[in-house]
Amino acid sequence: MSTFILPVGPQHPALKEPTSFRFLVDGETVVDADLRLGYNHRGIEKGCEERTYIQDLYLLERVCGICSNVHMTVFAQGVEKLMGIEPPKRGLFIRCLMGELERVHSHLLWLGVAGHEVGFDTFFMYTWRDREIVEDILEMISGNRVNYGMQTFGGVRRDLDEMQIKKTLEGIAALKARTPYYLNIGATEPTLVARISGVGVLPKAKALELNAAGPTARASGVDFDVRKDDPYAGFGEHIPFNIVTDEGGDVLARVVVRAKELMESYNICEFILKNLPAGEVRVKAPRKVPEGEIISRAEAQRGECIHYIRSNGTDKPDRVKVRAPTLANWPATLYMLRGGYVADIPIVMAAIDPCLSCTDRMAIVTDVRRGSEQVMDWETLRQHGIEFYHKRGIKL
Amino acid sequence: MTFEEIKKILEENLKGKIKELANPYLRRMVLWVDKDDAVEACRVLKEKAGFYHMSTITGRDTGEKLEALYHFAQNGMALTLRLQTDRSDPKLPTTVGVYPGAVFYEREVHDLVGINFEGHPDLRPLVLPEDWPAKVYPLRKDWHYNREKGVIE
Repeated sequence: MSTFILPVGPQHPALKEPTSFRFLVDGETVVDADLRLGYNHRGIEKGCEERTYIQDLYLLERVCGICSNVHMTVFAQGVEKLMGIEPPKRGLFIRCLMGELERVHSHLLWLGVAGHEVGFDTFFMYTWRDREIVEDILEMISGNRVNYGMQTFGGVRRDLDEMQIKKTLEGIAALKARTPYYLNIGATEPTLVARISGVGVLPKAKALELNAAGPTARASGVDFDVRKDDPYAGFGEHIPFNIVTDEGGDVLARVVVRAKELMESYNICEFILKNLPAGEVRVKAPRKVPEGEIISRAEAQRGECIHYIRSNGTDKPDRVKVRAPTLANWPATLYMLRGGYVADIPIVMAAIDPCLSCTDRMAIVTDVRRGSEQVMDWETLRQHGIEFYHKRGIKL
Repeated sequence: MTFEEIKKILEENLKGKIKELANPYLRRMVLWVDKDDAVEACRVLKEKAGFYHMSTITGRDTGEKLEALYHFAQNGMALTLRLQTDRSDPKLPTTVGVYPGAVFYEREVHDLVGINFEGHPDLRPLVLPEDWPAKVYPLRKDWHYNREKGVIE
């Protein structure tokens, strides 16, 4: 039998990140999917071995633009344990606050991207407008919209004053009033639901077997959340929150989980700001780190982020290993794509919130029946998906 | 599960095969077994000790040996399984049969540290470029990146 391969990726200057996919298709159905990473492999792990700890902190922040604070937090708290220092409580609470604000901006961004990939650009405009509120808060606190540079060994680098707390609470209140509307649209708007319900299904057993993480796993009913399982930063200090799970396992469930997580994050932020302990925000950290090894974990917006750090008594680490959550979700994504429509590729892939800082976005489609090979860029594929569903009466 | 509970399960099921079992930090444990017992250890961890999640695999060059550190997690505990192999013929058994999610992690370690995972279904390069020279492993300690100095003439 002849085959038709649809290559997606690697580089498209107008689009987000480089990764190459190869889809084996039979007509409109995806038979098999394969992935090639590395178009954005920058050798950061090797680079860390050649730099001092404080330089690594800022290098690792640049692993990713969207979850920069998480990588900084994970590395800082791991090295703190190796150094044997404990940040003051106020520092930990602010560390936690930054993590949650970052989750809010990332989830709002993702909701918009999900809307865009299915052709619902109004949703995209709405969520991104509201994302500006949290971006302004982050800029006010840290001075930057991305790559905040807030964490350091022994605590955080900037304190909050009364004015900042007041303004942050106001922003959170505004977001809290608007988010239920998005949850309502995402979960009940008939046209959108028709596009995302039953698409990219990942059953709970498969999510466990393929080691999915973050909202992808939680939308399949796995209550895996590092904030609860392995409390870090302020979470050990009894900051109350609930894990959001959903049994659906499809793209719809992932939208619902993320929208509900936004509400949880607002509550966490409000709790932190209203119960912020007094005192210093950091302690002094030594320059050299005693010999040892540690695993440090945190819940990034996309799932578990884990660093392995090995120190050798000098001011440079012996080995730093970074595993960002997207890599954990690729095996599950390839599973979700198999048996689905070519038209659903964009939204299924977007549904894990891929952050490859490192992913290419064009596809090769191979048709099992026609035996031809065709290269599609991401935009063509997205347009194809929208038109495919238009013909079936789903018009967003 | 607590460290003591997990310790009991591992000692019962991996009798005489444990080289090291420690609890260095809160909610962290380290297990060291011989590489020939790796698949059995993984099976015990997954089926008996409740480690349903494999977080990642770290490849490391210790100088004399190559080391693979498998990071597992369950609610309330993170475990590191340590395996070592010789530099001259670096081989480890694949754990994909027990943890299907390990497929990309093993490929990544194979690319960057050069450990061969015997029985792995597909060890094509994952992160290194296609024109990368064979048998050159950037995360080994004897590999250094020498960047040519940029000169403005």
